[in-house]
Amino acid sequence: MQFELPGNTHRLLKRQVKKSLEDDALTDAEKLTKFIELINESYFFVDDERNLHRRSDEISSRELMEVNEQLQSKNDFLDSFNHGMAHDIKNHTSNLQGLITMLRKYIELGNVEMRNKIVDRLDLSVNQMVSIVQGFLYLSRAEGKIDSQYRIVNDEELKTAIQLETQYLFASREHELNYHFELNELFYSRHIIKIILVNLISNAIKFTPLDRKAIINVHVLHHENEVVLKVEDNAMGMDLTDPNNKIFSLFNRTEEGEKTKGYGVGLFVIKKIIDRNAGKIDVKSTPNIGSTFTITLPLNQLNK
Amino acid sequence: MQFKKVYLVDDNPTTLFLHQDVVSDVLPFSEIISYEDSEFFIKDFLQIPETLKEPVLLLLDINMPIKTGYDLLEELEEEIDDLDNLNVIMVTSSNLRRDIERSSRFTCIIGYLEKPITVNNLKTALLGGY
Repeated sequence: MQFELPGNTHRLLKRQVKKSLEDDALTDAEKLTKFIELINESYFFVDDERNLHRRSDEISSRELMEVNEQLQSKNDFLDSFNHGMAHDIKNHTSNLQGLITMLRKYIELGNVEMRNKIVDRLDLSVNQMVSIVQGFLYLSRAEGKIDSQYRIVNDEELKTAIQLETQYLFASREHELNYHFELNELFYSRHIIKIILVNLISNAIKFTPLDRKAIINVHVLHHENEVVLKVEDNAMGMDLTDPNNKIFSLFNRTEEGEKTKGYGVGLFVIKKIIDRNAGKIDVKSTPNIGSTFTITLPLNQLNK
Repeated sequence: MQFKKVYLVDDNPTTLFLHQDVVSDVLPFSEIISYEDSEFFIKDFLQIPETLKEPVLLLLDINMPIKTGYDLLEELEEEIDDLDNLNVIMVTSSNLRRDIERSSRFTCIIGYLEKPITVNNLKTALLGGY
């Protein structure tokens, strides 16, 4: 008696079936029983294999979803980042356009005093634009290569870099900016520290009422396994218990600029940088008294 | 339309400097009062109840820190019953259309202007065109 094996049978099974069929010690009936048993078994194999395939499909689609989510969040970030930046830049270009129109008018009128005033304003606006564009460059680096630029952080360099980018905000304000650095041979990215501090200091000055002298204390502390950045201000503060708190909603903001409301992209960018570097942020604030932002970045991330 | 007082609210001092100049060209007989801080504006505005006995113009920046222009209008609506004499022109740096769609509920808004404002487009806005 000859049995034809179905073509799809598992190769191993096929070999077993062939072996049992060629076993002369068995009767045809026994061969048939054995054959049916083996076919039965093969169903389990097929089932197992199908499950395996299904699981690997699930895994790859879950991976795809994860990658998709990452891309989506990166895209959202770039969207609101672009919106915030475009808004800031548009504001300054509008001022430049307006100032030029005004300058033409006063040149025609021969008003030297106004002409000089306008030129001073033009100077200020251009400088503000330059620092925005510089920030833009640094931040775009933050999304890319920035993480690899680690070296010993020098306090004078850090101070100078921060001052260069914040001085225009302080120009017309009564203020006190105190630095407290304990760097102890801190090996980290100066850019990351600078971007975080510049953004926190800028926010602090922006949210200090105009009739108040702005007092800002900046700390950079190098602990054993982490670097701690702390910025204390006496700005307007905020009610952290308020669920509508705008500063925090900005942290979770994904939809395009709708809630930006002049906060710029500062805190959002800080949050992104902290996340990338496995850090933490802690905010303490009292309405009308001030806020303290504390950021902790682990140093062991460097070895990754 | 003539206004005895024109209020300018914008967080950017250079923008205020520009707006003062344009407004004084278009409305040479109006007193122009500028605010860099919207809180100070609200405080002052609420303190002088007779301010709204005559038509008043407010050039209001939409995008400000702390409070947006719309937040400010909402606060005025809550505090003041009769806003008939308040005429507001919303000023924005970008996304003008989206801002307009969002704000049709404020009846005190008479127009919108995109920065930088000019003598001509302020005149147009005052005549009721966008």
